[in-house]
Amino acid sequence: MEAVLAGIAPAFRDHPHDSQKVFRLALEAMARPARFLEADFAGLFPAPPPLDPAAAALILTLCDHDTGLYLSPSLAGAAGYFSFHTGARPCHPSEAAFAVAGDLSEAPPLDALGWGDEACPDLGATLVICCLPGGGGAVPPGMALRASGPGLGTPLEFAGHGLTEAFVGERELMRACYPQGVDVFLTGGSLICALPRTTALERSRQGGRGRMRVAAKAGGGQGGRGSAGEHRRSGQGGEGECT
Amino acid sequence: MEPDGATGLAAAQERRRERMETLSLSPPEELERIASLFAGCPEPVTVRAAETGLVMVRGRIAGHGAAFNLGEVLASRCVVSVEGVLGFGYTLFPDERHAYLAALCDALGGHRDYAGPVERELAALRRRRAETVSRDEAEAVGTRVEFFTMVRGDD
Repeated sequence: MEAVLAGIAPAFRDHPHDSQKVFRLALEAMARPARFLEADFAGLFPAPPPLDPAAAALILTLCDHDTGLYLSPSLAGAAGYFSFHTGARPCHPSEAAFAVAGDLSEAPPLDALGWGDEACPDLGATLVICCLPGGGGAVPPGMALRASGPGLGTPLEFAGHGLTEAFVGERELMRACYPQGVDVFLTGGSLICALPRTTALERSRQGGRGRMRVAAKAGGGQGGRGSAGEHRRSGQGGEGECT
Repeated sequence: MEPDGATGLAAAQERRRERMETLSLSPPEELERIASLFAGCPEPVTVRAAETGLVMVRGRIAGHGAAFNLGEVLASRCVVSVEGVLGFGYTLFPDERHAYLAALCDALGGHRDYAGPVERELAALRRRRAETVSRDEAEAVGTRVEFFTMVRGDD
């Protein structure tokens, strides 16, 4: 029995407060699509490799024993970690409330995930793709994209790190079925970015390569108390924000 | 592993069950003392920090029949790892320190370097607890009231 359970890594040190911080950040990201939010996820708990700290924090916050969780092949080793800490049961992509992929090439196609139905579009799955360049250090340019829709006053040019033409095309097809669909989080190290089903993506008309712009530093770690509020205020003060 | 895999596993589970029971029912001061004996052991890692919540207690009349919900009780639990060996601690009634100590002693009891000394300490705790229980039972037996039901012998 000991052998089976040996070596499970710790999760949040202060579960109620840490998960509330991450939840607040996830809300913020969904409310302000296609913006990169930064937080010290690695400071909250040591995510066991190969898990991405931001993706692990989201899953630990959002999953419980009622949610089905699909992990892509490179992350399959983390199934025990998540089922221990959240109780989420591993399942097929079509039944998953949350799917996590090590990168876009591993992610199940959007139409392989649940989109909800007309009565309950909220049952659509959430896809977490660990494709952002981790924050800090040199940031490689991403595919130049233009996002528009609710939460974006004017269209926003952004760097779609790790995304492909095919993915953008799949999302366009999916958007025709609104309100059914899949919400997407892009994560990497200390960064998260949300692409809710309402956000339209297209190739940037300006051409060229997208530049990453981190919208604001948000809470996380021990020093992050109350910083979600500060973050919101700083977001209003420019930094190329669209209002 | 013992030659008979299934029997060996069942015996290991039974030992684990006894260990967790003893740790859960022993006074926290005793666990505090045992933990201090192993202060030099590798640093324990808290895998699931001690937390308190409600647990539904279910019962069956006379131990059989359909299960029913008796009511909710507060319980604490904690999971600790010592060099990769996980220890689980559960306590009835909220006492997070007790849950942590129980988890720590459970992990040490499962660790091959410390299993022997921990088991000796737990055996002493078990003896003391058995004495308390038998004394309480002896006291209680003097106050027993027997109920008899008169049955009408109509048939």
